[in-house]
Amino acid sequence: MDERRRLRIVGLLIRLAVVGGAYYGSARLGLELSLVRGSVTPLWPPTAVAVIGLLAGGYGVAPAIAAAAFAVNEPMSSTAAAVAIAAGNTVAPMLTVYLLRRVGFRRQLDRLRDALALSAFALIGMGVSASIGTTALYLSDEISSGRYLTTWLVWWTGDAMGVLIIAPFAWSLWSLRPRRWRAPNWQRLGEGAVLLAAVGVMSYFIARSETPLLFLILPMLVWIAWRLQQAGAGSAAVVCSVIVTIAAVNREGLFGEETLLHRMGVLQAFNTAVCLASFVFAAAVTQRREEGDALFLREHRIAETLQRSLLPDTVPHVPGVGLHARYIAASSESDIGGDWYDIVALDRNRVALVVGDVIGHGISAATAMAQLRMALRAIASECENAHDVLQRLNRLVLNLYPGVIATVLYGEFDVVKRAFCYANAGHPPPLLITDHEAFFLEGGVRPPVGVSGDVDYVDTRVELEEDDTVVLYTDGLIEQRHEPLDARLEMLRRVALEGPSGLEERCDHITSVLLDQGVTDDVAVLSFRAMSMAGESLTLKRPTMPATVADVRGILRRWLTDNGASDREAVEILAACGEAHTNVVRHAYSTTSGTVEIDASIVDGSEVALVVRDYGQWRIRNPADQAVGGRGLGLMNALMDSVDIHSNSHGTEVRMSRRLSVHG
Amino acid sequence: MDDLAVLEVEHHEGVGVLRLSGEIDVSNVDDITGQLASALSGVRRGVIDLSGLQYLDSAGVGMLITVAAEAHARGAPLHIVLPQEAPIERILMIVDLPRLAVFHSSLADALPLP
Repeated sequence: MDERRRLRIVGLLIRLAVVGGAYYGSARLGLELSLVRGSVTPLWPPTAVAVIGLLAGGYGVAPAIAAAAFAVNEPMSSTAAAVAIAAGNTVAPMLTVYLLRRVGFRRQLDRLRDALALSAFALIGMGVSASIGTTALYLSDEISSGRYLTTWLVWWTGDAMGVLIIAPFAWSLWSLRPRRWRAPNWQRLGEGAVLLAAVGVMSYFIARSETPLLFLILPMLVWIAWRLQQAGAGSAAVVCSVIVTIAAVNREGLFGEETLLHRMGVLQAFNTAVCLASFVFAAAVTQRREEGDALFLREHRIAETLQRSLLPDTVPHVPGVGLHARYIAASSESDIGGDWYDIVALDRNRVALVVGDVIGHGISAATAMAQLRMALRAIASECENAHDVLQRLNRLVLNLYPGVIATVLYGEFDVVKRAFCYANAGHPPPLLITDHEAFFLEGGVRPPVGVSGDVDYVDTRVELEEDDTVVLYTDGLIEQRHEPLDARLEMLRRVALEGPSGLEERCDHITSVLLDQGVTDDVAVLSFRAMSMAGESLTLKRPTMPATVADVRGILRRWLTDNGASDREAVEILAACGEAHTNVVRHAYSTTSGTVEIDASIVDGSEVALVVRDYGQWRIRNPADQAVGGRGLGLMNALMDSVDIHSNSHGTEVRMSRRLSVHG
Repeated sequence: MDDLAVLEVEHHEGVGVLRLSGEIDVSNVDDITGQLASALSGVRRGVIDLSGLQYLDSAGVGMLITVAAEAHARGAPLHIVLPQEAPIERILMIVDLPRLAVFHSSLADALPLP
């Protein structure tokens, strides 16, 4: 027989031995507490062993239970009765376990429904063993008919209590076993020991007193279940139940001089109350606590998702500017922060760059950040300079979002002039990296927005050279406990200067070095670079408004210069392109304004190829020509090497090209 | 806000020098036309200095041709200052503006006006 089968059989044998041995041992223990004929007891531990064993080891351990039950009963009854009782004591826990499995019972008892299921199915299952057992005893004349009912009740409640008092206790101890080394929580252990001792002492004295004060123990159990959940509840239940059961069996205190039925009634009522106050209540408490935890976790995830979704997910492509942005969230233990970055294309060939940090954490900071980000985008597209933008943002925050305070670094990069104009509201200074040095742009720092209406924000302007890089960031990058800010800023400066020169690589290098101790606060990093457009194709899309003709010309002029055109070549090509562009603005879209697209590329190393495209329905063919005497098309043809116009129902394309003279 | 084009008027030896610099396109040509017309009407003799003009397309060309044609018809042709290296020079040559106006390569050459 192969290895696996052998191992399975060995496993089964071990399980059988363990369950059988435990059943027998606990049975002998339980018999010390017998109330009827020395064999029926109000707290029968073997049923717990049977339920636990069947649940954990499968129905295969049933023979061990049957054998052990027979071994226990055989000395006390006839063989036939012992066989019947053994059968009943095997079928009953099997029925209980079957029902528990059907409803998805979990032995962790962390849901109220599991606790109630255990209670109900223990009572149902043990009804079977009580019936079979009592009937067997009756049929073999070991009890009289008058005692049938009493015996049945003791058997039933004893078997049920065995499960309900002992099984939760055993399962809770099993759950407590540490899966890896963890320093024990001495405080909780101490608290548990004290409470258990109190319960024990209380039970001992109350059980022996003649005044019916048993109910006083229940608030203690409830308290323990609240504080220490299943483990505490299980242990306390076992302690007080055993103590009181012993008192009942020995006829002590209020259990003296009463009939068996009376004693057993009081005892089992008490045990029922103990079950409710311990593992049932503990299950409800655990369930409620876990729902609370789940709720908190969900709230945290919502705040996180909110924050992620509110940040721009892609970095736009702006010709002439390299852009890279990175957002690093703090580890999930700390709350969401209010950091953000933004990139907005503005008219007149400017791009706005923002980093900001709303003070505070959690959902309120994330939502304030979202609103500030949107407000800033709207304001930026209307204002002419950086200090105006922050001024208006400040007023808006003070009026509409009182209590919100944010540091903001707002700047506008003019792609054509390569000038960066920025205003600073309490934010860490941007870092400028040229090809041989790096220094902070420390112009005009003013208070954060949302603090006071009395603030005058100022612009600071920096002229950049081709390939200069500017890095904007939030304070999460530089703030580190136990390290002075100046040292961290110097570190940032040094790391940026020494790092790789690629935009993305440099940014990654900076973040990995500065954050190697871990991320305690959210970090946003935005870097941009003045880039030559040599060798690159240009694709521009603009609305057909007259003001945009100059914008396009500006960027196109820069592109032409970057690609080697002389001043004169540039002006002439721009004039030809401007002709086509102006025609579209004037006449392509009859009622509503539309879009014009301009593509510029270098072909064969020195030939400029331009396409001016619209999607309009031209009513009049080149009316500008008629207005100024046919000059437009003539100018285009004279200034460019070739001009082609293709028009259909979807729109028009004007293609033109001119070879640049290559300078020596 | 920077204006796209600027017209400045100076007086040299009794002659009005109308300095036009910047860029003229469809977005500002009407405005500049108005300024130029009123400036011209305000001087007895005028010279238009285009050396600072960085961009010109058919919109601006149309304006110059109209003004030059009027002056030519009145018998007092326009004098225009434009260095030969100026980037817009060929554009003005293509549209045959020299037929309607007198070109000088510098202000010193233009003054005194005949």
